[in-house]
Parts: sequence; structure tokens; C-alpha cells
Amino acid sequence: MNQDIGIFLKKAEEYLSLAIEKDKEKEYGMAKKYYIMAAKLILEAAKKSPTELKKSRIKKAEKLIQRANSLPTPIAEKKEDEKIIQLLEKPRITFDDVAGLDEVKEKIKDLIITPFLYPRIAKKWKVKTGGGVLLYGPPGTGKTLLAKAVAGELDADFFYIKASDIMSKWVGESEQRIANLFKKAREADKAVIFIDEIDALLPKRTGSYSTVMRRVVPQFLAEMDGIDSKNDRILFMAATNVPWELDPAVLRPGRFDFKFYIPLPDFEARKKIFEINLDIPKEENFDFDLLAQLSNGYSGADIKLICDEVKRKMFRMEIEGKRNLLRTEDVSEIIDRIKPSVDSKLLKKYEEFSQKR
Amino acid sequence: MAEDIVLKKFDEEIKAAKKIERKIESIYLVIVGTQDIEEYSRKLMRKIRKEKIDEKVMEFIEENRRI
Repeated sequence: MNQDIGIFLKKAEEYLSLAIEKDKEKEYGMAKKYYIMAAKLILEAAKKSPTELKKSRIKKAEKLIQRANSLPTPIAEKKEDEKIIQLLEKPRITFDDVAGLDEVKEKIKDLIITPFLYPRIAKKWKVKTGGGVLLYGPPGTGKTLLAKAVAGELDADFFYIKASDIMSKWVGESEQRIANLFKKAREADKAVIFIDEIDALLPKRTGSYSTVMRRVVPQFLAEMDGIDSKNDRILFMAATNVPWELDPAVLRPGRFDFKFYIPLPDFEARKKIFEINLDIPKEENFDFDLLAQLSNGYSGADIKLICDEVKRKMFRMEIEGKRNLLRTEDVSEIIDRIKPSVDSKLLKKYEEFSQKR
Repeated sequence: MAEDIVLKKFDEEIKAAKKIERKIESIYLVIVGTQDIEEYSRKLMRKIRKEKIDEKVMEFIEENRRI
């Protein structure tokens, strides 16, 4: 028995050296395969090992697979579908990384995450798990980040797709892509499917409805309904900036049971976004509160843009030998220059839609 | 007599080692030949997760037995 373990481990070591070599040479395709080969052999050894060693060997194998998964897939090896459907490594971000939105986070935790994490108890009390969540609100307010954080909290695979990428002019291809997306998600242990710009995929059925749409929309709705009845390990999330343009059939209960309005960040959230994005050398009396006040009406993405501009400005200043510590005025000047991307009319429209729901 | 036993044991060990070598070779062929290594790695990860859960169940049983 010990001899078997020895052989597996020796070979695993050989493949691991090869993997590291290929990894350094940036030959990721082969590096991935060698890492996985080494992991598989360590697992074989683990099967025959006593409990304590078994645990540490399983851990080691897991680390190697994680390394393999973190390597980029060479473009030439990517299939067309894989370029469109991005399976992201399990997101490491959690709700703590999302600034503000405390009320929404609390609701999501209560209504979605907890039943998802305790499926047996949820089943016992007939509480629904999985299903659909719609996030809507102005652009740049962190809808994608929030969806990633949900996947992070659930420790689930995260499938990200932009609705406009699914649409293809070739007959049958859009349907094929949708089928592939759901198939891949079903194969995962736990999955979050996130469809960005869902309005492009499921707009109101009007006269200008194309033939592609006529085929795609029903298939998509059927796949979503399928998630409901067959698989409670998939959470379906979607985001839109224009919820009023969605097909009303999508909004009916049973498809998107949970709809969350993601508003512009409030004072505390803006302050936190500045703090996260301005993690650079600052003067001692730097005033985040003032920046949060000045940026009322700005989205998270707007604030990120401001911070990027500030960083470039400071970089230039240091090169020119002027100054190497950030002052509050450096940021406030740029806030003055960059206007918020969401105007008050649009904001009103979101609020009205949110009240109707 | 004793020498015979040692030789027999040695023979068995070689046979077992060859069997493992063949197993490793077939694993290698599967992994290198696969078109979808991501899919293979996902499956492996699922196995690990299951293994970990089984481990926890065993630990739980062990602990309760002691109590």
C-alpha cells in the first residue's frame, strides 16, 4: 500500500515540476494540464493515505487545481461560446467589498442566500431556493459587483454574460448559446448565472420584434422556468438600466421573484468608495467626508473615474517634482470638472418604477 | 525457502508497481487528450468537495461515537 502511495506522489512531483516550468514559460494550456495531472495523482495517493495525511493531500490537490483554473485559457484554444459565456473563477469578493447598499444586501441575504445555503431546511419549510433576481437602477451603481458578491457569498461558480453577446444573426446560434449557458451552469455544483443588460435579450414584444427575438425569448423563458422546477442550485440574476423596457412576461412573479432597486450611493457609501479607490499616499488632514458631500448624485462608476483621474494627476505631479501627497483639493477640483452621469429626470423615472413594483 | 518468499514478495511488488504505472499512463492520456480541460478540472473539484464532505461526516460519526 505504502509503495503505491510513493509511486503516485513521485509521479505527481514530476508533473508538478513540468507544470511550474510551463507556467513560467507562459505555455498555459500545457501548464494547466500538468497541474491537473499532478492534482489527480495526489488525489489517488490521498485515497490510500491515513486520515491526517489524506486531508493535507486533498488540500494540496485542491490548491493545484485552483492554480490551474487561475491560468488564462490561451485564446486559440477558446471555443466561440466560451468567449461569450465567461465562467469566472469563484468570485472571492463578498458583501463586505460592496460599499453601501446595506438594505439590499440584508434583503438578499435573508431571501436568497440563507435558503440557498440551507436547502434541506428550506425544502422542509417549503421555502423557495434558486430562481430569479432582477437588479435595476442607474448605470454604474454596482449591480455587477453585487451579483459577483452574491456568488462569492454562496461559494458558487459565476457565469457572466452580456445579453447583447448572446444574439447572433445565424439561425439557431442564439438558441444554441442559451442552451449551452444553462447546460454549463447545471453541471456546476452551485452556480450563479448573471445576465447583464437583460433588456437587450427580453425587450417588450412590439411590432418591430425580430424573428430572432421571436425564437430566442420563448426559449429563454422556458430555460428560466426549467431552473425553477428542476434545479435549486442555480441562482439566476440579471441587471438592467432600463427596467421599464423589459417584456412584462419577464417581470411577472415566478420568473424574477425578487426585484431590487440599486440606487445611487448614499453619503456613507460614497465615502467608502472614495476610501477604497484612493488607497494612495495622502496628507494627514485628508477629508473623505467633504468628498462624499461634494459627490452627491454621482454613481460608483463616476467616483471610480474621478479617483483614476486623481491618481494620474498625482503621478504627473511626482514626476514633475511638485508634490507626493494627495490633498482633498486635488480631488474636489476633479469632482468639479467631471459631471455626474445620471441626471435627475432619469433618477425620478427609476424611483417611479420602483414604487410601482 | 526464506529466499523464495523474499523473491515472491519482490515479484508481487514489481507487478503492483507496473499496474500503477499503467494507471498513471492512462490518466495522463485522458488529461492530455481532453478537449475541455476546464470541464475535467470542475469534475475533479466536485470530487474533492464530496471527499471533504465525506471526511466531515466520518469525523462527526467518530466524535459522536466517543461521546
